[in-house]
Amino acid sequence: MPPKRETPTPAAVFEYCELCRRNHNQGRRHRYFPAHRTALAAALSRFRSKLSDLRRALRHPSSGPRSSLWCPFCSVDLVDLDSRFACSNAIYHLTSQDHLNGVKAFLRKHGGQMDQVESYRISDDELAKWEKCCESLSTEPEMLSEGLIGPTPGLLKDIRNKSTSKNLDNFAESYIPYSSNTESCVVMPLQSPTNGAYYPNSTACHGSSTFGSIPYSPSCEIFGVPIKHCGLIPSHEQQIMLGTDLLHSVDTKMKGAQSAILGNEPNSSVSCVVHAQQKISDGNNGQGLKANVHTGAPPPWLEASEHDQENAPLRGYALPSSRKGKSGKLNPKRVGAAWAERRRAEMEMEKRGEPVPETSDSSWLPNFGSVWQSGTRKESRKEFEKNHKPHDEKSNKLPLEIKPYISKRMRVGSRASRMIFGGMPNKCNKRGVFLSKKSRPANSGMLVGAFNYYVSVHLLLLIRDGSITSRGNMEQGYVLKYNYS
Amino acid sequence: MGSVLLPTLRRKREVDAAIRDTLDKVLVLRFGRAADAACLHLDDILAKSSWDISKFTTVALVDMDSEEMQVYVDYFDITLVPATIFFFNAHHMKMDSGIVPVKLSDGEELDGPIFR
Repeated sequence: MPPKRETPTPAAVFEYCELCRRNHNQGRRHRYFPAHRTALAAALSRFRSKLSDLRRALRHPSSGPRSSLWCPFCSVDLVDLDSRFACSNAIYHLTSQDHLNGVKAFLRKHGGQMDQVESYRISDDELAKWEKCCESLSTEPEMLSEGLIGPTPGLLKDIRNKSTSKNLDNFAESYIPYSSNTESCVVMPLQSPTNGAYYPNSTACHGSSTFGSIPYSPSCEIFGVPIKHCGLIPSHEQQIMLGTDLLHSVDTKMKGAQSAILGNEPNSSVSCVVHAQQKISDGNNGQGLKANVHTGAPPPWLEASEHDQENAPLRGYALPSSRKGKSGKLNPKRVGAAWAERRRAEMEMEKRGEPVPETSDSSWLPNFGSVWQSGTRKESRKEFEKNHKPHDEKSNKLPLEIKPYISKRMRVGSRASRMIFGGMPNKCNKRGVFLSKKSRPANSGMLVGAFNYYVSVHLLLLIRDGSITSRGNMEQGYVLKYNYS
Repeated sequence: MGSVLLPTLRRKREVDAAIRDTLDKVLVLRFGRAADAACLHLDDILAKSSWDISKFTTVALVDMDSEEMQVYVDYFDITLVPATIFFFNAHHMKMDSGIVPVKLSDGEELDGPIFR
């Protein structure tokens, strides 16, 4: 038996599948592949959705915007060109016989279910109904253009309706009076940041109105400190600006005027103003006297305006002060806020090379606080003023004469000796010699205790009229023989 | 003297510039001497912590032995060595030094001051 010859399969012919968008040589089997079935289902579902929209237009014919529909069965793009009503070309096509044939061929080729052919076309009855509606609509448009006050409810259903949009335009035009008020209602964007505060008069020039007769000098504008960037409440801001203002134009004459500020604002920046009133030209008490921070003396780093020019080349030596992020986030109520702002402006001016006005007058004082004293900085200033004047007198005196050291014991008068040696009665012999003994109790005073610490032998003290003689141990470090003549 | 990281101020105008130009940052001035062991210990601690606090604090050293510094020594009545003085915006800040121990990141303990 001859071997069964297998008929050679014809060379596979490649076909292009529109749904899968690829060439294949699978022949008729291709339509049963899952990928093809998926693509077919997707294409048919898309067309169904578009057809449903079209059927909606069938029920409510309107002259809406032109739409285009792609018929996948006939591979035809249906565009409304000359029709007055939307989707008219598509409707006519879908009812045509050619479309029906194309649907059948498509389904036959791609393996779709043939019983759903009717779902992909429009029946003649539906077409007839649609044509009736179109005719009725064509006779009604005159009624819509008479300028109704409000849009008709029917037109509102389809916002894409051209006639509706036209009517709404007419409506808007007819009610122009509202637009005339828009200019008065225009809200301009804020020109400057307010930081949540409201500034009816946000300029320092209005500070005088707040503080009565206090004169305002425009020197604060020299530093270019923008008020808008402070972000402070108006009263506080104005006070600070006025305070910085007064720091530069301070006179002793303004003392009375400035005293009014003190009662209103307990802010530390205002006390800065208070300090500015003092004439601290002689504040450079570098002679080791009591003019220190405890007594409220002016700080040395703000003395002598002549140092400013010397400090100018040392700006680079100044420790870098990096801003805390953006200056707008700094607490406006922080200590020395006014000083920092002014100083920053001065530094910027110096960088630009502009002449910086002298800021640290001899009378200017920082906001210092006495360390060992309690109370406000105002009280420390008062105390400083009390102590400062006698210091001036003392500083003018000649230095004391150099004299040999005289211990308190040796000095004329028993008062000093009593203070040193406490309340213990002085034990003196008949000759008036005071004897210091080890047996002296230790609790007779701190000085006595210290003295006893160093005393190791008896001191012979002979007090005569006008003559003092003492002999002491050399270990104590002193031997004194002093004779009055 | 002190640390390489911390600047040493020896002249009055240098201290003035540091105080006046350090804005919106705390300025810590250590008044002390290079020869003092306690000063060196404090300088080491300040140098180690200066980076951690560099965003809000500037630390500098002041040589008390300098002649021009005597003005500040007298003004602040500095008797104990070393002494730290705090400034903010050219304002001398009052300090209430407590005995609260502060442990630094490297394990050293320091009696921390209490800011008022």
